[in-house]
Amino acid sequence: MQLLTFTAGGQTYAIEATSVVEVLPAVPVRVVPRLPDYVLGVVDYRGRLIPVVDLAKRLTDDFSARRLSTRLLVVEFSFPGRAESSPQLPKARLGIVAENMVSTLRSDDVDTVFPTMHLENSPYLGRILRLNGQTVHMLIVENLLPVELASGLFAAQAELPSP
Amino acid sequence: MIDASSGLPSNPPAHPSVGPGNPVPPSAERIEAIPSAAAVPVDREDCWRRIGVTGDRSCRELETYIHCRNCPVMAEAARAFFDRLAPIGYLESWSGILEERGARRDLEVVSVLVFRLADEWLALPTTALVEVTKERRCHRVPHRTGGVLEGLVNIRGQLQLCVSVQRLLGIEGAAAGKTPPAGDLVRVDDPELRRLLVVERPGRHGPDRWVFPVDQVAGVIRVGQATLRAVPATVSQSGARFCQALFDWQGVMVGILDETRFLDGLNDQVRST
Repeated sequence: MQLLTFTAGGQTYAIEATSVVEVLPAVPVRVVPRLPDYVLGVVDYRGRLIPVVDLAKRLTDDFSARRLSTRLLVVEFSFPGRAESSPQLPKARLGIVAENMVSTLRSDDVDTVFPTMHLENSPYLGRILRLNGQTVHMLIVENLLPVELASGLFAAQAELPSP
Repeated sequence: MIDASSGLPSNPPAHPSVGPGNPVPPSAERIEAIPSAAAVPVDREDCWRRIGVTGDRSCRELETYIHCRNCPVMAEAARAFFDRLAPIGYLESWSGILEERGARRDLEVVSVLVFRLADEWLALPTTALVEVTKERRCHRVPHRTGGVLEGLVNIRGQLQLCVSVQRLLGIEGAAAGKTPPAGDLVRVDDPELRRLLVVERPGRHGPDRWVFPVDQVAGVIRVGQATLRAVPATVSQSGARFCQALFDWQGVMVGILDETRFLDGLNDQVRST
């Protein structure tokens, strides 16, 4: 199991490396008015606009610090409700800005110390793992955006003709 | 992989305070190595250039970490390096890179592990690879050896089938008197560099796992789809049928093994003997 780790509010979070498309410098985003403050805007990612979420703002009160180690992570997932209706559509892509995105953790010896909590207000929090002496909280990236917001943003993404 | 870090008597020790048999944690050593460590900004602390792999290799930690990139001191320095503001214009320049649609083509790359068997350079998609490990003893299986099957080898406590890919592909062994092909700058003939590759694919009864020795592993590289060439139909070598494509890498021709055909070939050969 290989994890990409990053931090928000001083805590380490991680996602599985298999869902990562690319890790990029935190490029400037185009602001979209009237979105929740944790949605920074949209970025032209290789001809496709993808929404960008600031993880620190989503999880805590502050925005991510502007550092070189604060990077833009592009993840890909099948958006629920979309895959069934039209499986040929490209997967949904989301940008996540988070701090200290500089290392990966790899281990065959993974210990779940706390299962997924299924909290109504934070459905994006997964299980808590302990590996290589570090405690990391897994993120469920599909749930980072509330369903209504996600369906709006990703529906627009899907309408684009695939290049 | 043993380097000169054991400390030759003629070399003055880089860490006078660190005696043999007295390992110190890297952080403590770092502070002792530089008299006024607290006053030195972290980004100027470059022990890997002085005593590490790009220096005189006298660092005792090399015995443990083999290469500076595995050392926590360098990891910490890298973290410190990124912990600063982006240079002016850097992030903006990346916006331009991302907006190019043409960049999409560069993403279509295959990641392969390049290795050498006698005189042939071959590559295997990293998706099929489990691990690269040091060569170790292969236990012969009575009445079953002589063909492609070499025997059984112990990988992390489990006995795995060890095979000769050289024999499967029909690659001739490097003759002692034969000079290696010219222009091959990567090639190093050293028995110390022999490795075992462990490959795997999902099978009907659990994972289908094979181990085979190679003469040298050059590393993992990413190859653009556009640079791949088809295998010429006229190639007389029987091994060519296991290759899906060829590419030119540092002046040598590397054949990418088709993992399905390759593993099917191994299955056929070993089950039939």
